[in-house]
Amino acid sequence: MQLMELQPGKKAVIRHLEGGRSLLSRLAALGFTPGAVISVLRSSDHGPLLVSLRGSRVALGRGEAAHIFVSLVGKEKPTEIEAIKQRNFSIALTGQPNVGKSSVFNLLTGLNQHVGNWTGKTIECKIGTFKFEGTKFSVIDLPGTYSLTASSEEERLARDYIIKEHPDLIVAVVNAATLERSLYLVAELLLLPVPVVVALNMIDVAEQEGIQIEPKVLEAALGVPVVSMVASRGVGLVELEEAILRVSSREISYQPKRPSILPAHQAVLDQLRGLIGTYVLPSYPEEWVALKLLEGDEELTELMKSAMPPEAWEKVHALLYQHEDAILDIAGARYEWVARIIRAAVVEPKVTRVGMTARLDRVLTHPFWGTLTLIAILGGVLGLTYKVGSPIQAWLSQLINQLAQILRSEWVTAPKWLVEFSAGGILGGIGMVLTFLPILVIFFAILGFMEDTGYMARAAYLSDRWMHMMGLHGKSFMPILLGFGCNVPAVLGTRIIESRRARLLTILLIPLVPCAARMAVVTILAALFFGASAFWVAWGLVGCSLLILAGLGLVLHHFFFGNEHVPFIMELPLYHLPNFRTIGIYVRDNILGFLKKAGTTILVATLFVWALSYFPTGSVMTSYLSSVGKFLEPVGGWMGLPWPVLVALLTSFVAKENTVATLGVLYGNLNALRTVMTPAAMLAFLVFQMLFIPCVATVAAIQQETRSWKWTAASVGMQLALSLGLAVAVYQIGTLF
Amino acid sequence: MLRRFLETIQAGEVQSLLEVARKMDISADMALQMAKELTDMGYLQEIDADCQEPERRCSDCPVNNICQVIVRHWFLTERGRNAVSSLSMTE
Repeated sequence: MQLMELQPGKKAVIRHLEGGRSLLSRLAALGFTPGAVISVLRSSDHGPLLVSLRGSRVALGRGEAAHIFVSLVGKEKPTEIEAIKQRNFSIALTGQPNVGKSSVFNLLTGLNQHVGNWTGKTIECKIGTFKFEGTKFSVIDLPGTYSLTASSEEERLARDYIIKEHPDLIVAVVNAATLERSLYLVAELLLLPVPVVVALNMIDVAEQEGIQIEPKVLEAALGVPVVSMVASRGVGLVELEEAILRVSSREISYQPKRPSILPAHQAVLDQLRGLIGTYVLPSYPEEWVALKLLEGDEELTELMKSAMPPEAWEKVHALLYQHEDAILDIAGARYEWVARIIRAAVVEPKVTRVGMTARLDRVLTHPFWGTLTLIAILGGVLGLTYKVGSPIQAWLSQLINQLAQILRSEWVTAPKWLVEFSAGGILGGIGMVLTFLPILVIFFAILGFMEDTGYMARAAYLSDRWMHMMGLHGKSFMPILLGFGCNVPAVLGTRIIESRRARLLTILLIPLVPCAARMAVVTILAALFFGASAFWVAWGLVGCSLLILAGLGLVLHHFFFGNEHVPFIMELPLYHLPNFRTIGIYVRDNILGFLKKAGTTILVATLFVWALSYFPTGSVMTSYLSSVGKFLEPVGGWMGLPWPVLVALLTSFVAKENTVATLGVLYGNLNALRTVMTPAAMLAFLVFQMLFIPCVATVAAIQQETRSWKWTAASVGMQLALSLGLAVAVYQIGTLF
Repeated sequence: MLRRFLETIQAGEVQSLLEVARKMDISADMALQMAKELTDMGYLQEIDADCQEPERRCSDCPVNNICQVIVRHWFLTERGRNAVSSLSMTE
């Protein structure tokens, strides 16, 4: 207040003086200096003021008195705060998702809240109020955001609110158990011209996990108040309200310790500020806008581009282009800042899941020991499948044969074609495919177990290393890995490869990857043909398939990728105990998917094959199918395969499982196969099946992705030649022994 | 720190995020966050199998769930490689 406003009898302290040098000198000579205690003895509307100063009485003209500013002794500061406290403060509550932001909001506002939508958006917006020590606060719960980069609608809303509405305070809710992640957002918030209070929530969860956080150290490192909380239990509410009040009313000074910027970039930043200074919109802090431009923020770049004349923007653009990698240092400094704070304020437990994972990974991802473990585990999967699954499958197969026989002998009054349709077509075909179920349940249960514990990612990681050794570098790896599940997404996955040539060649390789359906058929037939030795035969077939893949991969790498070095990183989840419900759901979903396929594609194909094998005479040997089969007979002869077996193989073009279904239709009892083929022919058949052309869905995917019938034909032709050539070779060599 | 992250990736062939985190003496969580941010910036590219495209195919596939076991992968983009090489040139 001005000295003239001071009421007679009241004491005040001189805060500052204004005016020219001569006036200030004269006043100083009279003892009017900042800090001096002064009181007005007499005052009138027009005459001079009589004041008491430093034990003297001084008469002061009103013109001179207007240059002296004072504040009441002992009451000035509280009075200002009181004035500030009369205001209705606006608080923005921000934080990343799953940090307990809503709990903090509910705790602060209680029932005084309402839910609405952001203007023109469908995103929910919660607003509430609370009162603390007579001061009113309105709180807005901003959408959960990981950062302020405006890469999502939520981030854009949160950022725009802080910038444009300029709340009095931001409460940054952070999760104490994942403090490192939460602090990144805090690093960005501190750059904004709004004071921040950190609500260190879920401190109980952090303690349960053995994480010790020193809130005072954290507070000192951040330079902003930090309040420990367990919002779900109401712990820390008063302390948070207290901090909000003190910072809002500027009772405590706000001096955040922001992430630093390299001196080189500071110069660029200053240059940038000079260029954009006059064009920055009033609500936007100039320094922050310059920093975000340097970080390549798209929204702000567009904003400034439209706000600036083209010639001025051109200079900004040139500067940004020159320093386009500055973003690495600016954002990198934030990570360093976070790491430094974590090192100072957080004590991690000695035994953590991360530590245990690292110890386990030393063995399980080791090139030698890890591979050995993987081979053992995969061997165990196959062994378990043969030990448990195959006997059940054989029993089911026998049951279906008996049912078919009962149908044929009991259903004497029905038309013969209907009996055969039911016994041979339905039971013999689709029924035989359904005997796969026990094997698939075991297969998916083990796969689900491996995935749920985190081991499956390690298997992929080790496979990746092998593929690098084989020369399958770079981006062809991922689609090939996908191919073990199903070749269709694998072919679609080649879209990630930019070079058309490399992409086409990867597409050629994918059908060599044994998919799950192909593996299931080979597993069943190997058990049928080779009994106790089936395990080794199946392993050998998978190994051969991978060797061929590796050989072709080497050619691909050598001639087409040109030793391209494309380093990868992979996310490996932490190991954890399996959840049997999750595994159950995984098995159920996969089995339902298989049943769906069995009830549609496989059923239609099976009934079509049955019709061709029954009509016109009612006997397979004189059916339409036999005409086709006999045409193929010479080819089958090279491998010792009777024509029905070749026909069964051909039907696998619709779906791989059709091989078993067709064999069921044509032979009734699959055990009969052992009487019509030699061991060499059986092995040749398995090789043929393993490397045969992919299913129609994969071929369609190849055509779609290559947009070339020529390449599609090349893929099918190569696969056919390879499978036929190797099957013939296996049979011919086998007959020598 | 982000430049060091890119350098560490460039220096290896196949690495897990945990390995990169260990080499940089940071947490796995922070390494993951860095990978995501560098992906947004265009220095890394995440390989996406995009199982839903075209939806008809994958929804019909009886083993489409198998794709989900494939772990997340990132590789250095040309911008990423350029950033690392410009760094090594200045050193």
